[in-house]
Amino acid sequence: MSNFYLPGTKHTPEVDFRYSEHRLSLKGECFPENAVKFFGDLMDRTQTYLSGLKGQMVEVNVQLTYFNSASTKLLFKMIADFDAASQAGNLVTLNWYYDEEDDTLEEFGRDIEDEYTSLKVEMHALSAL
Amino acid sequence: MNIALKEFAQIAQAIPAPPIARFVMSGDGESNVQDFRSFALRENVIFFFSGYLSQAVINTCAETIRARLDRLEAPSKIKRKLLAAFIEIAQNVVHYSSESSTPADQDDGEFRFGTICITGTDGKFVIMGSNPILFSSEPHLRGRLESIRAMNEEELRRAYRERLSAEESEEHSKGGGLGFLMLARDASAPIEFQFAQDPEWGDMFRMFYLRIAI
Repeated sequence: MSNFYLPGTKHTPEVDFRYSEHRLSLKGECFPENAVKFFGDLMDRTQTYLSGLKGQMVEVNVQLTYFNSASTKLLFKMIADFDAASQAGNLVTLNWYYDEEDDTLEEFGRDIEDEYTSLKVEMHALSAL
Repeated sequence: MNIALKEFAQIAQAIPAPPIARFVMSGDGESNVQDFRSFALRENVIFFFSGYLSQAVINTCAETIRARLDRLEAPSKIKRKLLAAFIEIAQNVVHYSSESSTPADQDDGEFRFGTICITGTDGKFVIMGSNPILFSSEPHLRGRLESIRAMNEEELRRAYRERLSAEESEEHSKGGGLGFLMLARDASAPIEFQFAQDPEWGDMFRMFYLRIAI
């Protein structure tokens, strides 16, 4: 299926989901006017992609500086799909990037680790973002 | 708390003439500029907006606030929390303000009326927000906020985690109920709120005020 790219804006992240390369990246700010619309389409595509995988290594890179409450909820839901793909026999790694001074971002990464036990979560603290 | 909110309410309303409006409306041009500026300085107003909010307005205001906090050399943790609170409050106004009939009717590109003010100095800041809501929304909102206000840090964290993992109906999908919990967790004191009838808005509406110390 075709790769999906959206350039970042002041309030939405850059989306670089390279399904063909099994590398999916999100980077930037995340407070869309309508998080359901923003994430809904992305999640549909990604679910289709994931359901077609078998014993596949997938790399997910998330480097968000801020996400609003609606995005928080949907991001968590989207990550559930990655966890499900892991349970289905794929090896999905989630690289969680955050500013080392940002407790909120770090905590969210740990919450993902706690909740999604089949997913391989790698925490990456970045200095002076 | 009540006194601060009353002052805020006066600033936010056109009637009766609040300090800012008085300065602006009287004829003496020269002293107006100085009085207006010294008022803002005295109250340590960092940011004030009263009008129609949209995503574009929110984006620009966020940039302005960030620049202002940079110049004030506010600690980065405080900057982050204030910006997060601003975006959350401002987007709540856009999503839940009563000027459309139900959340389901709202599409993108909507403008909603609200007032947001940030004051602060010496690493201590306060963000206040106010917007009209349907009178019928008050009981539910009040209930939620009262229970959140009563929670300690650990209870807030647990409630937040529960909400995060919970299945949500389409109705609540815009906020997921997480917004107020996240605001409360970032706050340095229990969140404060008030509902008031406003003669300008009539019986169908209530003015909702939120005050958060960061």
